[in-house]
Amino acid sequence: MCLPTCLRSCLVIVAACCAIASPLTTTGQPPSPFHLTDATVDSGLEFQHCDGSSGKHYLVEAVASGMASFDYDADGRIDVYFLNGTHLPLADRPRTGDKQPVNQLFRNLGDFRFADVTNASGLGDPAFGLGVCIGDYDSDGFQDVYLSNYGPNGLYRNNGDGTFTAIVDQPSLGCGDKVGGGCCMLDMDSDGDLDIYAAGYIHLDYSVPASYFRGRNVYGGPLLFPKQPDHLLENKGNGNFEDVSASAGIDAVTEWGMGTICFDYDQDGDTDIFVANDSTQNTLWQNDGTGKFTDVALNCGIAFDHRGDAQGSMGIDVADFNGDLWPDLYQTSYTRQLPTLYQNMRGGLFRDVTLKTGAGAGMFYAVNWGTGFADFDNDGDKDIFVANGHIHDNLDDLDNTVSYKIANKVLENQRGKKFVDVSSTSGTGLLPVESSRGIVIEDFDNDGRPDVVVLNSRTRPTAIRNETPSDAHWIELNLVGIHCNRNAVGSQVLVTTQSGTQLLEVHSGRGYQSHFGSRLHFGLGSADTIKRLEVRWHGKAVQVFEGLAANKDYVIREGDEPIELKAAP
Amino acid sequence: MKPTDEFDQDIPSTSPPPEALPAQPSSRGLWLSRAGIGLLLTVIAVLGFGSSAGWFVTDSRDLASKSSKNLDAAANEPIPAGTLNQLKPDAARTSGASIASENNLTPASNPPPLAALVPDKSLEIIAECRRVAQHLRQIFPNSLEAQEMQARVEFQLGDVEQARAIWLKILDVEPNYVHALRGVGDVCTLNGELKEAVQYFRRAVLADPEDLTRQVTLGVALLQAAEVEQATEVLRTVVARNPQHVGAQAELGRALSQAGDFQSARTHFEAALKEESRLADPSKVHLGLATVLQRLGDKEQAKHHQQEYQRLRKSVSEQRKGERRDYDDVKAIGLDAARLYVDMARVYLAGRQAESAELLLLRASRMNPTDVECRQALAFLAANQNRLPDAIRWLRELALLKPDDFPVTAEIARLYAQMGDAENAERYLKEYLEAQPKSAAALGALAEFYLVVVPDGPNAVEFSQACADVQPTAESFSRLAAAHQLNESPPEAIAALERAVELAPGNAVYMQRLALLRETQSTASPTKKP
Repeated sequence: MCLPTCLRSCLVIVAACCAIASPLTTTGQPPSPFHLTDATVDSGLEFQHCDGSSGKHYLVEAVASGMASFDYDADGRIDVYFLNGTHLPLADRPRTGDKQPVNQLFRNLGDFRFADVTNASGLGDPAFGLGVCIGDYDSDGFQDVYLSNYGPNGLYRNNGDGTFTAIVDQPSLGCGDKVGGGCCMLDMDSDGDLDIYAAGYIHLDYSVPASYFRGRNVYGGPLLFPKQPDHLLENKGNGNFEDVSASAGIDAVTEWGMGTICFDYDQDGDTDIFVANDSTQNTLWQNDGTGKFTDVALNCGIAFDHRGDAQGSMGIDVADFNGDLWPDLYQTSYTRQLPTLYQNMRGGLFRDVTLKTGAGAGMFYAVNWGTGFADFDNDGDKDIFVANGHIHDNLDDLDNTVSYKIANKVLENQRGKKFVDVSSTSGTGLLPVESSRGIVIEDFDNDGRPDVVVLNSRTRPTAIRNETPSDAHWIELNLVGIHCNRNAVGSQVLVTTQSGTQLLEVHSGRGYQSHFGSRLHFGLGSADTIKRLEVRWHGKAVQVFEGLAANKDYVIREGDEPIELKAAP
Repeated sequence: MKPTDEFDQDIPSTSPPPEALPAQPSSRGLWLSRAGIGLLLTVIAVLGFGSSAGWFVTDSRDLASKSSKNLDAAANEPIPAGTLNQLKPDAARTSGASIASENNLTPASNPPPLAALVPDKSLEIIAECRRVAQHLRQIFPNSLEAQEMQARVEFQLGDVEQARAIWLKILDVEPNYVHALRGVGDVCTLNGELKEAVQYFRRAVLADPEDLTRQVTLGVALLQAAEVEQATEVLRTVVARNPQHVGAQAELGRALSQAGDFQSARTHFEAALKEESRLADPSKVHLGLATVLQRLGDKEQAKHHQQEYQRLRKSVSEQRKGERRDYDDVKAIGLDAARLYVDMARVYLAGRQAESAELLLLRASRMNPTDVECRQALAFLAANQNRLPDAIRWLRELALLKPDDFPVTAEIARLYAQMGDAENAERYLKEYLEAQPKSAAALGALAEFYLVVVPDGPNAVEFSQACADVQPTAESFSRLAAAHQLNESPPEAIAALERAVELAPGNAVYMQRLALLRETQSTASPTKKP
């Protein structure tokens, strides 16, 4: 059919207008609202990750490591803790000497500068570190550190003076001699203290023959190794932990566990546990409220992706991405799979909405690890950050569609309906190309904008400072439990402004075998006042506050009024 | 051959690679290998066994019936056999020549650059495979098929960008070359360029609109690119055209589930499960159905399908674990290379380079001791060059691989008979019959053997009767009549032919034979036995 000339001209004009209305940058991606700057050089985060790099391609190298952010010295600034691997095989590593890699703690000095305080703090654990979670297990007001290792796990008690002491007299904390996965603290029985969930990954059997692919030695996958059980350790309230995996029902399922997160998926007031299992079905432990658990992942539609495929599940985070006040779940995965966004449909059901929302945009070829929800532009919805990198260090010789080093991604949440990949237009912070693993997202410079630190395998980390120019408002909350556990883990906060209500929950352990976000951050958009702030303390107590001013960092002690937190000079 | 037609297995990009390994482009060999072998079998059908002997014509047709519908014109040309004796013995320095002499072949003048021995290292196999692909292109510089093979070799061996470049060049020349369109689509998918992949898959569908599998590929790609509505539309078209396409039914169920149309999703998942045995992985369909049933509130049915899923999943998981544990890189690469060599042999053959084709097929047979297709092709080539012992050797290997496949046994027997070795011909047929005593084809073949090759009335009657008992067709009774004639039993012959006429009333040949027999009988000497 031939259109009249005038009509064709009109169509051309309309097409041109459409092009103007949705401008694309030269990279093909839409302009980003975020301005994320690579601030690594001046940050002082002088950490060198070691994965063992034995040359023998032991799988544990490929999955190292997670990291943590927490305020270890209670100065109002959030510090950074990197886990490190070590020489392999473990039996052959040097026992002493400066060259031995250890975990490293960096104190936040303010203004996005950090200082290495590893030696002074005593947190330079020399084990092969894989996962970490933070929580005040002894309710003394200072945050303690639990480490999931290759080898026995470890617990470090915060002495409250900037130092830590390793707890060495409790064998149950070790959870066996295995390659561990993620770990979490939770108050499983609402008794006011924090228990520990530690995922098990594999038993690294050095006698398993090396894997070869197209003539090259590569990392063999987890299915080649015996899977290891997860462990649930009950805090007895006297500083001791007891392994209650069997009586709690946790021993009913053993898979290759990686990222873990605890959250109240069914909003029944107790804390449930999700475990992202590598190459097999995920586990969702439903808590009956007394610390007894049943795996309901399959019933809930969260065990597999929408095709029924088991993902190479790695990292995991939880947030309400669409504003319906139900916690949704985002999970990273292996190459040729998409990371998966599971929408909580209520009634104990989840739905894979990755395709519908675009939450896997641009990541089909990548292996994804660390991930986290955060409102980078304070517009009131949760965006997503994903750390990428392959496991195979010689991949470039084998396959030119994907590399060992892959740039990280940031997805902008567009009003809870769509995620858009804006990585290439979000600033220099997304430019480094490394093989990343764990990430932490925190407001490190206390400016109301969440920043990111990324652990990169075999090299230095990337520190990304959020310099998004915005008039949008925000609020940050530090919850202190009195009747509930001290860190208020499992507590939920509902923040209502003129533009709606948001929900966040306090987690201990999330992302890729990492810990971050104990301080809750809400972007408020144009609202400069909180109409209503409801704290649902874990254990059923509820407090409501009204008229709180925005752009402040508050401490809320259970039962007290919020007070503004000012970082120590 | 692929055991099922569920589509899942045929989607290169959506299937995660073995997690133990770097992602590799999954096999695209199927379609080309089908086409390639189809072409070889077509040649067999046109030139081969069936045309040279009478008593097993039907069976040779069976052998060739797997041939592709598309008859390549080049393949119709007889393969020149007279040019083989060109090289002097001292010219047998090339590796190809050495393989040739080892196998009693006359060496090719410009053989593919195969090493004298099968390489035992992955990297060497890869290098050799690349060299052969380059050789193929040099020999046939204007052949799109040769270019396509090189692209496929690169794709299979990991240089996906090189493959893409070659395929794009092919598309410059022939924009509707479906294999190249599919290839670029696959590369795009592997690179995460999902929207671009859709464009290429769409063009492939337009270029070959009759191929439903391509349409399912497009549907899956659309789903992956989050174009749920379009995916649904495409998959609906496939299902409308072929409701038995269980793969399409399953994919449509998934698409509708994504679209939130759970009731329709249920219908299509259930349709897929009606022929569960044809699904590559029915567990996933059970899970998809369980999910939509839960959404629809039918918890009891959902539970049933979840349980079914778990039951099936267990065995799939165990199988996968076993595969990963037992993965042998050299062996795996060897199998890939063998498949590529079979397909490259097809191109050599189509270009009248039968010797080169045979060398590649020989190499393939060594790299993959269970490959049926290369052995079929080698048997054909040997028979076509009148190297009957060689042909029999390959057919015997085939018979070991496919012991239930009677056409192979029949062909062995026929070739023995052709060589004058009736004893072995008889032995092979009888051995088969011993294993498959109710095989009508074997009974019929033995009957024909005693009718034609070694005339033996009583045996002919015995086996013809047995065949007619198992398979009471007009043809069987006609054969029985012939056997009775041979056995000089006209009344029985007449009775058998009457039965044949009864079963095929319009068959003029049977009627004519019957009339002749009756006439002969009526004028027969009374001294002869009735």
